[in-house]
Amino acid sequence: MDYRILLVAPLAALVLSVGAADLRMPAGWQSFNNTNDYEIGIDPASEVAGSPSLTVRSGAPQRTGSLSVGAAHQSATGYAGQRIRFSGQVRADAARGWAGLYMGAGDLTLLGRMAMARPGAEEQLPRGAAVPAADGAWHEVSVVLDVPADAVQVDFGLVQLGEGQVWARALSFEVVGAGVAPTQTSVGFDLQAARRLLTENRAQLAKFPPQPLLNASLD
Amino acid sequence: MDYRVLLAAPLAAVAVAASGAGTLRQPAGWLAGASFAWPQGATHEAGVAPETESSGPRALTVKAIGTRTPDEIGSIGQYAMGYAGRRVRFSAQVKVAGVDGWAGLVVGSGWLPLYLQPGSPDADATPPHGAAGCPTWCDVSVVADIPADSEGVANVGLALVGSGQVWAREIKLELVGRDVPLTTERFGAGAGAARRAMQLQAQQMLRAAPPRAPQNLSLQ
Repeated sequence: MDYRILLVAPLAALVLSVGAADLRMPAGWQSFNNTNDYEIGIDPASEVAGSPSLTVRSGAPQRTGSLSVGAAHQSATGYAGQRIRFSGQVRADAARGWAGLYMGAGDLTLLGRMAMARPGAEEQLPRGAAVPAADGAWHEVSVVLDVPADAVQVDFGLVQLGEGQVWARALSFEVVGAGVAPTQTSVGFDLQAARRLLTENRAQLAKFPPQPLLNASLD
Repeated sequence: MDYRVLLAAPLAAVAVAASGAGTLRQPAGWLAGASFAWPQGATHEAGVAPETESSGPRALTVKAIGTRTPDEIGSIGQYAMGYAGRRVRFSAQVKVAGVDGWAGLVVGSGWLPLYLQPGSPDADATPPHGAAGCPTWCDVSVVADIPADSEGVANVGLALVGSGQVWAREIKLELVGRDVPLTTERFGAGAGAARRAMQLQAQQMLRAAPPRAPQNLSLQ
């Protein structure tokens, strides 16, 4: 693992801390919400029904662009060199974007680094298993990862990219044997589109005339 | 150091940045932030110096909370847009007291808060520059080029590395010509190296720590 991931965290986490949703976040889980477009936590309706489900729901669809990532996730340590499976029942509604379970080597900044779309991000994209259909029905979904021998942590969770809503329940996490095939697909984050958008944003920002200091008198 | 600091840091560092921490008044337009020491919390606080509120020019201040290590930084600053490819001068009167590390004005580029810039992977490509204050009020200025291929953010502010306190008043940001010499002092080079070394050490501790299995998959 590269130590720099610790340093890159703040940008991603900056938005995360401001974007806290009103939904209850279960102990041990964190929200990731890089464009502040998502509500993340336990779906209140599922709680009433006695079968709590995690959900990630995009709001403000007009702002949900190719950079938006919403997730409920956590990290674990001690799985270096092992094959692990994260699975659950997952359903999606109106998923115009990619939705499903993911897992990758790295800490809680994994998705933040992905969304920054730096050069080399391709090699670090987490593995992902999408909900097979956004039909509102529960589907068994699992993602299997070979954790590199030098990976201290793995980060995993439920993710919605772009617009849509996804739910997950009946989650499990286990070490599996060589008979279980590792997931070959990655989270469906379009790094090229993200880079184009970031470049456009940068060009737009660069057109600003020089702005004076705000409140230099410290009122 | 406890390995759990690694797990807490990404969230905590930012909670601090967003809240400004401490009891000092937060002036509109300025953003305070500080390193995070687990489990105590923010290492510095920043805001308007209370003793300057009632008379004379108000001053920004950054103050260490207790004795700090050379990799711990507090800052207060703001992002000024529109400076891509331009040379800026950020200046103020600056005073320091009890500083065992470094304290003064800083100009960086991009959105990363100043207290995080020395340890950033971008620090070598686009290093922030600084000019230190002195024990009695003195005029301090930093002259820096904001990269032409950037989004044009001049990230300017007051920073304190390690223990002590620093103040700045009569703060100005202006465009200057190419004839004005650039500040050559790099802000926080030592702090960045110390931070990177600590993080490597922390990674090793985390590697050696007992496994931490997934938590609460039943979503209680």
